[in-house]
Amino acid sequence: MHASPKWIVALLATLSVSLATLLAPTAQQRSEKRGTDGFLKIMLGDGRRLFAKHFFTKADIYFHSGYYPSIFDQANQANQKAITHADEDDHHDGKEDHDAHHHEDHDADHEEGMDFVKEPRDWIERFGRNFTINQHTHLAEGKQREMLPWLRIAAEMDPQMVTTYTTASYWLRKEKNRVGEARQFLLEGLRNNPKSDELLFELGSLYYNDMADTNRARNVMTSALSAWFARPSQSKTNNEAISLLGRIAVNLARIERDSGNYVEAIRYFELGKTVSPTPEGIQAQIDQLRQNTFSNDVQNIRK
Amino acid sequence: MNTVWAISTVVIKELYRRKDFYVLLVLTTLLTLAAGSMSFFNENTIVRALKEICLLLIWISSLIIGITTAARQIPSEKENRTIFPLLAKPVTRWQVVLGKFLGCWLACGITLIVFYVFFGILVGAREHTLPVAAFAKLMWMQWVALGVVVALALLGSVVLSAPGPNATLCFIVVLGVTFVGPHLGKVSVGLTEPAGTLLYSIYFLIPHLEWYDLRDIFINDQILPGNAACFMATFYAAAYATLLLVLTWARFRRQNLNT
Amino acid sequence: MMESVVQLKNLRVEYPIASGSSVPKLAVNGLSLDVRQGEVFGFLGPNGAGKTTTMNVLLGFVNATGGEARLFGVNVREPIARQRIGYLPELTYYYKFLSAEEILRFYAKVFGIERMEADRRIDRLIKLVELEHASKRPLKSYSKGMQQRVGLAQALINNPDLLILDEPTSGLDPIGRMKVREIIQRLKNEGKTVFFSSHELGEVETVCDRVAIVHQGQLREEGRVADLLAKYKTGLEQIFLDLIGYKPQAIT
Repeated sequence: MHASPKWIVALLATLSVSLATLLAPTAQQRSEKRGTDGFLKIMLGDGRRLFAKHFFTKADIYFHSGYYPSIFDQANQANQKAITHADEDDHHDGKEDHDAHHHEDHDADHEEGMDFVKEPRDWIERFGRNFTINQHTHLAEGKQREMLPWLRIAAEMDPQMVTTYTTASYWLRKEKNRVGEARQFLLEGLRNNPKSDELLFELGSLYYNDMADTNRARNVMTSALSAWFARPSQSKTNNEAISLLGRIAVNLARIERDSGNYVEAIRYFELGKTVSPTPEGIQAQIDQLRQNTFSNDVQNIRK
Repeated sequence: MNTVWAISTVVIKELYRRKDFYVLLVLTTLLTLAAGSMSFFNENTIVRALKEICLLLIWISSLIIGITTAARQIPSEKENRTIFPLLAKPVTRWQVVLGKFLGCWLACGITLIVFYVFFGILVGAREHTLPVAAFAKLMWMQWVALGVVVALALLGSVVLSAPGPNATLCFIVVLGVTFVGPHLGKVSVGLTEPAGTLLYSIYFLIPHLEWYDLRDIFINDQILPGNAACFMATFYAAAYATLLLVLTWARFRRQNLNT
Repeated sequence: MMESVVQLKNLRVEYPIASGSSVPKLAVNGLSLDVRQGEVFGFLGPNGAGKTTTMNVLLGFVNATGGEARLFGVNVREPIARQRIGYLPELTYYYKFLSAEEILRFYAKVFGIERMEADRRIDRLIKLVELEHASKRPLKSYSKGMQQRVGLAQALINNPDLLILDEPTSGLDPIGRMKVREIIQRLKNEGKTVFFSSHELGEVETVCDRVAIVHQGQLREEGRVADLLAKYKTGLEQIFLDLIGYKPQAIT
């Protein structure tokens, strides 16, 4: 008896499809058990943290329009002078010398830190200047979005790198129509880092400043404050941690002030004052609030 | 010159009848299109990252094509013994070296044109502008750098007979020269003698391929180097490639080839 | 007086010391030969006798360490010495990704032959080696015999005055061998010189005017085939075996 090749092919195809339908649910169960780690994460293992750092730096390079010191320039600078970078604004976490969330108002330290173009030492360097970026400008007019892909990839590579989420959300919030994406990204960051006071603070700021949702802002900021106090005692003493506490406290105070809870607001301002480098400014706000509280009390008594 | 040209056309034909070029072209296209189709925060107007990815792939692909093609030329002529009928003709070994170089370099040029046409379409579609002059300069400088790389791989191929180790070594040298080379001068300052002087001498001797990589300038919308600087860089690369080719010839002309 | 086409004077070729050996390998030791225009010259010897090394010197693949080698009176180190020669290696060594036509065109360019003339010669040679049906196919699709015919065609592209053939019939079927013999005969009739090495002594006896027998890098005998047969009063094969000192051993 001769079996026709067509029949054999049809039989094998039927067999394959039947087996596939039988095995597919089992395979799916197994993949669910394995978790949702992406291909890159599995392939790169812990090495992806290095890549995350690289992509984060890439975003910063874009922000500076390609002007960026190499590790060799940085080493030279470190030899010549210890460069300290003060926080550039209330969003700056200070972890990176050159991280991607700069404001337009750069301070002198930053400009100095990026000034790696010294006098050329030989003809190679002099001639090479024709082919390197020597101009230090910043992305503007909405072009900051060009940084976003690298920040997204950095977050994919290292979901525990909190700075990536805060930086990306800052730039997304800069464009008003991207607040939703910023919130989503911060929530994603929180899913990966549920105890991060920085992310909670950033999310609280977003609710308060961009969405005018005071209740949510208060809840999240309060969580941020609790998270900060839940830190191990040794990580509360560094400048970054103290600065963050100050910002959380001041923001909470503002939220309470705007809601008319002046007593609560004063309590938070008092907390902020203890860690602020400029306690006089905060004291002035406390005095103002006390004045308001007094006026309110007087009005209530008159009524 | 007829002979050199004839040898070079065989190299070009070989490259385009092999699958390497097409595989790399398809891979570059697919990876770039995949990167382009990705949406980051629902933002569809991002172009710099796409340019960066595409240009990086073009650099890697052209380096692979340049190095692997040049590294296998003379060894495969020896291994397949096609060198014998060739040298039995009135052909000098210098002509063989020059023909192989020219063939590899021209093949790289054709490859670059194909890749840059794709890059142009991509950028044009996203930015609705086509800076042809900038593209031409970018491509020219890359092609010039590939000339030095091809000459280096040819020199390696007469020293190391196996194309694999030669190509690997060439990749390491090219990457080292491009990324670390420009900083050796600075590093040498901090070293004690004689290491400092030695490193400073190496810094002067290595080919400065970093000059030819204008990707950052292009991606970050900076002004590309002027024509005079490009001309000087081309002259430097031509001199360096000639030096490497002369060294290749000096080594190859003394080699006995037994049938 | 006929022109001297191949001239060797006290040719000496030493190879560098191989690892494990204290003395350089002497491949050719004081070899002198003179091949005249229009001759079919057989170059005979056992394996390792120095035949291939001598040919390699003539073709410029190997540098002689002593003596002199000339083609048409020009030192073999000069590429111009190879302008009037055709070479067919023992095995086929051509670019497999090119077609027969492309290979012939490539070698025509190397010789600086004008395009029109090249076209004419390529057509003629493709017909001569009977590859009309496959001339546009890449060589990788050719059989061994077909590739050897391409080799023969490329050796003739410049209409050479001297043809150097290294074991030209090795690996060919009887029809292929016959074809090669016919071509050698034809070239001889056209007044060309043919210098070839072979182990096929019967073949040598049939086509050669003169032969040289080398052993251990030295010339053992040289002369016209007819003269050698008369001198030794035996066949060429026996002469060859006697000259290289071969002693048959009894099979027990």
